[in-house]
Amino acid sequence: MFKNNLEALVLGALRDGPKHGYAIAKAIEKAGQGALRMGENQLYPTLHKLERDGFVAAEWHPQEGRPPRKVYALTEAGTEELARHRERWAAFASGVSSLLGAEVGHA
Amino acid sequence: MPDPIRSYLDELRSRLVRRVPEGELSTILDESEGHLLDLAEERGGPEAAIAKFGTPARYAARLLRARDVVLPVWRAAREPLAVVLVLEVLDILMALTMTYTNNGRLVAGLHLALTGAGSVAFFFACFRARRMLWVPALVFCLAQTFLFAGISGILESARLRSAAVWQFHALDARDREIGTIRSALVTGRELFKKPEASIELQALPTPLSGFATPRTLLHRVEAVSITGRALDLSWNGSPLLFQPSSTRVEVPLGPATYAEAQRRWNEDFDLVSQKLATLDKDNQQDREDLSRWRDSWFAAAVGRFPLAAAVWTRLLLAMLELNALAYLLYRIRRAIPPRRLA
Repeated sequence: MFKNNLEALVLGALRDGPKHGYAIAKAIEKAGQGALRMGENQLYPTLHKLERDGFVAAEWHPQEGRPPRKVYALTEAGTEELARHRERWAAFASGVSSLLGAEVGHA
Repeated sequence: MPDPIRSYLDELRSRLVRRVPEGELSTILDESEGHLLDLAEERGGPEAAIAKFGTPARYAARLLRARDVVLPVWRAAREPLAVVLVLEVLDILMALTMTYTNNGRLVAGLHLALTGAGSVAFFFACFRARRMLWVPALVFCLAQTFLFAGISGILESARLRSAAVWQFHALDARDREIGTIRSALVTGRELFKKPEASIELQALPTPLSGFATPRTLLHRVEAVSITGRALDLSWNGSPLLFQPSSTRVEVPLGPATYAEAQRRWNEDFDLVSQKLATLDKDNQQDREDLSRWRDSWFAAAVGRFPLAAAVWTRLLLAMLELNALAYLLYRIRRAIPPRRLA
């Protein structure tokens, strides 16, 4: 339905600022309002891929009594990629809405 | 760190170690630990956090797939190939041991089931390895060829040994028979040297009873010889029985016939002795041949090799076809994006 949508969701979750993995997962969960279900084990492979592709950059933040957190932030390329995802999604959603709207209108 | 999370991370490490660079592995483990601790706080315990996270096996598989790390060939293929090997060995054993079964449908059904299961296992191996398994398939088929020839040769040798036991018994019996005849011949000659015509048939040694002349003995010797030759030509799984000659010459032991019997003994004695010597020599030769034949399991195995090679060459082609199909499916699967949320 929407290719590479998990990557798009992760990039979208980072739009309003850098986050660590857990916060990204929570952000997607919250934004999806229960409609978006993502396993935690899907998140890190996606984040690492985005990092390898240069769409996100990460840095370690030390914590008191806990392992350091790796915080991810959008890079410039990531911001552009997010924009492309947004355009594709807008076109897709517009097409589907138009079709569904026409069908609803005929019914 | 709670023990369940530590165990989870240990298992994750064991699945990723040597397949992901050490630095990346530490990153993954640290990130996962932080995430699991956060989840545990949120959900009220490490078990709930782990349940949300998914099994280490699945998580490791996702991480490796995202890095396009494939399993080493032998690691990916060893279990399915071991299954194939066991199935094929069973198939070979079945094929060799059920040769004498008349139920062809049963044999064919079992063969089909074992081969089919082996093919599925190999297909799974190819798919799991995510690449062409040319070398393992070739090695596997070569191993199977030698295995087939070896097992076949050993079973053939066992059959030969079993046959040889009976044949040695038969040769022993033939030796005994020749000895008995020779002894009877000599005894008869000694008896006929005596001038008295009053020898009673019943007084002759038991082996001579009913064999009044060397000519009759010769009949018996020839019968033994023929049986002996037949022994070499065929073996039907049962000990050979030496039948006495059906030709029995009744020689009345009166004075008139005694001289005649005496003359015939003397005339034929050399001929029969020579015949016995030839039989002795034949027997010895047969014994040596049989010993060589019995001990030639290796020759039997080598003899089966062309058949084994033909069978496993065909199998190799089938395996490579399966391999190509599995690899094609893997490529198709890779071409389809695996992650879909909406």
